[in-house]
Amino acid sequence: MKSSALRRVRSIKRSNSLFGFFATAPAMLTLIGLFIYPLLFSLYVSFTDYNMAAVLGNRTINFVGLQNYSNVLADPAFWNAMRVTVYITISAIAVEFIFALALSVATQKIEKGKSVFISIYLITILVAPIVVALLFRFILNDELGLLNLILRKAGIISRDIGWLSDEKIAKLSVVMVDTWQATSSVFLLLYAAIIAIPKDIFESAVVDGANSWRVFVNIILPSIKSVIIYSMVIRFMDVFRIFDSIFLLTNGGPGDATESLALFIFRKGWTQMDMSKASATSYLMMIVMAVGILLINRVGNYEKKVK
Amino acid sequence: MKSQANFKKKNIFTYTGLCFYAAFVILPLFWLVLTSLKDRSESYTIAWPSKLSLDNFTSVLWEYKIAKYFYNSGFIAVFTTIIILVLSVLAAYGFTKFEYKFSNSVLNLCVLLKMIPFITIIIPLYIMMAKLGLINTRLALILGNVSFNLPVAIWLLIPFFKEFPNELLEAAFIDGSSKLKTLISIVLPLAVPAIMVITIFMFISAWNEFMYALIMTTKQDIQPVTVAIANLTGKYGVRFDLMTAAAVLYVIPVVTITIIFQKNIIGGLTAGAVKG
Repeated sequence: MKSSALRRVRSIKRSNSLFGFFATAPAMLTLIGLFIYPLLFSLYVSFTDYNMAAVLGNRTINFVGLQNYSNVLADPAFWNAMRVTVYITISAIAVEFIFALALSVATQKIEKGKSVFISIYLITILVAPIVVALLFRFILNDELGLLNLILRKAGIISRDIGWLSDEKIAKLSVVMVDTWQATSSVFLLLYAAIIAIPKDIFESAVVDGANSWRVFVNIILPSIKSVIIYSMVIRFMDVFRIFDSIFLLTNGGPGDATESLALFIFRKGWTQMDMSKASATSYLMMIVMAVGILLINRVGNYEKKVK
Repeated sequence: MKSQANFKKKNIFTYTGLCFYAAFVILPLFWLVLTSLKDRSESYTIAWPSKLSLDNFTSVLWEYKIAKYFYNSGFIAVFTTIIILVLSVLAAYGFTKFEYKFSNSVLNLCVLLKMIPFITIIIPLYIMMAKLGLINTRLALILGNVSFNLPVAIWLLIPFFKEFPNELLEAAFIDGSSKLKTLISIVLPLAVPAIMVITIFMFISAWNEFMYALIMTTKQDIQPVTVAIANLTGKYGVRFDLMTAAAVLYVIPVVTITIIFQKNIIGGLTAGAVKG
């Protein structure tokens, strides 16, 4: 009797795990075929002399060891792209988080119209980056752009600013466009975290005579710290691979002032048709991103320990 | 009394700040719509248009034949979304309710893929698709979009399926309902909010995708609207008149979705970050 019940339980268990396996199999097979295999293949390509001719099947492929990596690392254009990407990433994250923090604290404070502001801000997240880039290319045009016109009319500038044609300013323009598009997503995350803070904590702080700044520093910031770190990681991953908006906004120019790593990889792979160096660069990029993510988490947790 | 006046002053300050940022968000979009309604001769001037016309829209529709690109974008986005929905719902159901040996490690690996920049797999995907003769096909675009977005979809669905009460499932099994039938008749009707989030996000992500489509397509018959808009900076010089009209048409579906499904979108964007 007992053993047959046990057998039944076992057979149910087995049928359950069998079903689980077959239910997850289609998604896993898709990912193995379209994600993991390409990922490993890319690693293999980065150690060979693969190029467009090899794609077309016209020549044999040779192993070249670490040569692609050493070539890329010796390429000044790679280091330029790395500098540009790091510069844009750090500036964009800094600006976006300052704006998003201010906006989320302000939205949380007001009584009426919260949802109106949230809906307006939300729009930017969903507009295609390519459209945003096109739009700002139009607005930031030296002579014909809206921004220079407004600044001229307001008497702030006397000479047109080369938003997209001056090397130094073009980088800032990329940051501005990214800020326009992405601040809202950070805002939403921080806002959701702030309204989840129990109300009585605020009330007791006000009773204790704390002003808004002290409430912000001593209550809001510590409570939403984990969300700040989480959203910073997400933003970091997004900005670091920035491509669409730069491609239409400046196409890496003027010169190579805004050529990001993704653009560099695109040019290596499809303009110069050198798949192996493009793959090697994308792996270097992945390593830098992993280090960046670890760093953000480290810094966040370090401060937690000090407190 | 004094503190109330102080409070009001502060509130005005807060509202002003929020309005400024809202203007920063809206002004470029307003400018986009306004330019698209200008006469072509005025589209490069900054002045207020002397008259509003729909000429840019008619020329982008009839001369530039934007409709076929919209068909491509829609086709790619719809099939990407459907495939991802089927795969991710089945996977999340299996991972959370019918664990097997190593199922948790497999799930973790799958979520880890979310962290990998997709430019890393675009190169090998291009080589794969070229070998399979799929360059310049909608299938290649759908497969790529499925692979970028599937890990995100599974990751978004897992918490919902985890919280789904086991008692409901067991009751259905005792009544003799099969596991697959239970998924369709019991779980899915209750999962509508979670599925809405996935649907909206996957659709918009595929609809807005640019880089992969740029690489995979050279034939205009296959290109989605994002690539078509970018092409307007090429051959014919920069055609702001046509670009703005195309961009307005392109953004309308997304803005409509945003307005209708605002709650679902916020839920999806903040999922995982804030528990509770």
